[in-house]
Amino acid sequence: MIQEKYQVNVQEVSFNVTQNRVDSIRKKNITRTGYRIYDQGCMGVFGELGDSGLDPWAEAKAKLADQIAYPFSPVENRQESREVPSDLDADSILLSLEQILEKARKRHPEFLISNKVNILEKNVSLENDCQTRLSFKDRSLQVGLLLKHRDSVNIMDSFLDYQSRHWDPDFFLNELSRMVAAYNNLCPLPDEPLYVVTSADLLTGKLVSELNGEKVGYKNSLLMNDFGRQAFHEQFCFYLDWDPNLHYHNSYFDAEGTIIESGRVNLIENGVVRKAYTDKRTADRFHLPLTGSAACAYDGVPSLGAFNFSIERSGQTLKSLLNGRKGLIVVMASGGDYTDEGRFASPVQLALLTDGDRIIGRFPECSISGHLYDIFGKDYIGYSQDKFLFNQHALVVKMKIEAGRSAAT
Amino acid sequence: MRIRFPKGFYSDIRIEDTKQTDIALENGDVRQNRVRSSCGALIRLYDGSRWYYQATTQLEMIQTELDQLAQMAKRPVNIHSDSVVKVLESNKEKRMRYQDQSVQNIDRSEKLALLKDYDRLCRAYPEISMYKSYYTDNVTIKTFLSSKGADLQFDTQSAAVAIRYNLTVNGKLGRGGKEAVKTSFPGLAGQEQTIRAEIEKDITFVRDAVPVEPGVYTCVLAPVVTGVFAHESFGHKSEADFMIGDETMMNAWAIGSVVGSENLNIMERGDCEGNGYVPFDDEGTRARLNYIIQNGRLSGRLHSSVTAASLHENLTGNARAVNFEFEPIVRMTNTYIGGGTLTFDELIRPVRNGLFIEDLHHGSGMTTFTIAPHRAYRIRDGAIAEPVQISVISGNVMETLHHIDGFSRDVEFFSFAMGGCGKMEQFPLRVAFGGPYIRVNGIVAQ
Repeated sequence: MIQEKYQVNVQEVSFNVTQNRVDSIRKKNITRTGYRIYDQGCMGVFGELGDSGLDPWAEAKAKLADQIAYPFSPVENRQESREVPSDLDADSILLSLEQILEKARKRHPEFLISNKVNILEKNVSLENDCQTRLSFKDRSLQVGLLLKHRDSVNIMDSFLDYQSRHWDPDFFLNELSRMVAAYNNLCPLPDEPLYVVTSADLLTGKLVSELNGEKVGYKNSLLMNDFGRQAFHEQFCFYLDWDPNLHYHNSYFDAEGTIIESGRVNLIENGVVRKAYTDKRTADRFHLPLTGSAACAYDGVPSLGAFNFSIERSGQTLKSLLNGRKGLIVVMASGGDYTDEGRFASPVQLALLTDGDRIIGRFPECSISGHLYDIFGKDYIGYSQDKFLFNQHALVVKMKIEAGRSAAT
Repeated sequence: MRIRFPKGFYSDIRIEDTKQTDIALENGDVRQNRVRSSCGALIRLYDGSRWYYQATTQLEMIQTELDQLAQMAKRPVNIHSDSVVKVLESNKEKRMRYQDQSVQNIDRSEKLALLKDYDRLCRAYPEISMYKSYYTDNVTIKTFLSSKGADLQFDTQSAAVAIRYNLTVNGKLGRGGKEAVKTSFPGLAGQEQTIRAEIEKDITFVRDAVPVEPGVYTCVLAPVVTGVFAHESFGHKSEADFMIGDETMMNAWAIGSVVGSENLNIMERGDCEGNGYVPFDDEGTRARLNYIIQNGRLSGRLHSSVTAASLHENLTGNARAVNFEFEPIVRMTNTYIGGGTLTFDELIRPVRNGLFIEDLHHGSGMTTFTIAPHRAYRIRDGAIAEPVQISVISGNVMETLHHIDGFSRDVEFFSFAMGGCGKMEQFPLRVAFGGPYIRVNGIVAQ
């Protein structure tokens, strides 16, 4: 019988903004602990939110009666502690934020700013009887502010959305000014072809879904016949990584304690589909390589999760990727999806015009569409080296762009 | 619990005591089987200018935390004359609706057995290559105390099963599922035929569906789609926190404005049985029936105390938080479109070239609403024709509500077993939505 403790502590200070003013402050400090017992191929878990006052190990032992099969060994003989550097201080950020919001009100009186600025600290630890002590701490600023033009009847017209480990008022104001200037310059969709510029998340969801180890193992993945063959553009690499510069609050060990020593697992390599992502159970069951992709609720048995996906940067700036063309930046594209066959379509509620240097203006509502194999195949242009908008790298692809059609009149 | 509310401020305490069962099966094997028991509180204090919140799991520290919030705040001149404080209700009531039929009194082995019965239905279909089944229930007892004298205790309850499967039919891939969400455990029995029928529909759909020709269509929406449409297209627009201090919005959304077709009624109420049952909201306001649209005219909107005071309107019982870690914001409860006079056949018959949207994956709503359909069919010359694959249907909210020209009689309600409503950082919130079959013109399908 082996005991293991998996603990997640979240400390958060949240500033709510209404009409350019901080109108509330929320604080939390919540600890969730999973007490796990490994015994005869089963796992018993007792979860505790705060301090339950119960004997957690006795409770976890009692849970073994549920006979949840978990015939895997815990990680052994690892002691490591990592903390990502951050200089965030909630009190000083509040003062600065209030000043900046006031400046924004004066500079851009036509816009109302609302929603949240959060400072989140997350501490994750895993300890067991097998001489393992792992811990990870990260602290980030999460800016999620909505911009609404005073003359608009929309719930929101634009937003300012980024994460950082450093509070930089100038960056905040510059990003805000760029968004406001772009919004105020409405441009028609040009006849010339545009590249689509977007965050990776909008379009990679289908790859994440189809590279799921269970789906691949049960032979139900759209990519089933693509393993080992070039299905996508030769410069397209899709991989798991544990680089804190690319991901926030994702610890270097997963919920099973697995650590990928290289810090990287290629799933699609130069367009060739190589691997599915797995936890211990999926890897064992389908004879797939283990990729450290276990997740779990604090009181759950670990299972396959989906996190830490990245696209290989192309070594070129957005400007260089656009290569003289203009780009349509997808800022808001809510509600679109892929079909099971891989066709993607979505309305784009907010699209901006860029030449790769500047954000020039705003397009009217439009829609984008394409097919998974084309988007990351013949129509793939690259993934920018620079962080062009919202502190994120930019995915550049060719897609069909159509002027927005709302309900017919 | 005795609380010494700091003098000169408004403050309240919301304690949530939750018990939840979660069971998960994967291709027949048990992967999770747990009971989660948690208790936490959100403490709020208002100084007339700013709100201060503290979320905690240490109930014995509530008084200390409350006193610390008072230290952070500025002392107001006269909090009792503040417009927000004035509108807050101070109800006193204990309403334990589910105490005698608590799902927590059902042995977990019974819950597992029920889930296994449904789960094994999937084995009969060779087209299903992977399937997962979930049972979840939740009993939450909320206690609410305020410095205005509110003293409430009430419970909410839900129980749900959800079956999810992936299909391979003649080499074509697809997915599907069926779920049932009830307020009691016995309510979940007897779903076998419904699940089998759903699987068979999905198999046929995956086998026969062809890509839709993109274009603008007249769409007939099934009740579950109507419900999501009501929630996404207009429900979110009715949440008054988007209007505070915004004259343009207030003018555009003036009460009495014509915003939809003359037979359109959209209602919102937390006081009826279902997944959006909230007899008192998270500020202690009593739930009530709110007409958002009545006969095509804007007749109300959804409020918290802050928005009601700001817009000089009445409270509606819509200040909700996803759990004790968050402050209440304006949210929906049970939102639905009212029924009409037509039958399903009468809705379909005049449509020469349209789409029937039978089920959906998800929806979203801003000025443009979207629905990602699951099963959809062409309507040709007044009859249901071939199944079609659609990525998304969308329309402009302000225009689409005017283009609803038919409603069937019966209203059905739905909830999502594994999800709920998301707004900003707070997801998933338990809500219900519903409506009849409706016919809508001018919807873009891609």
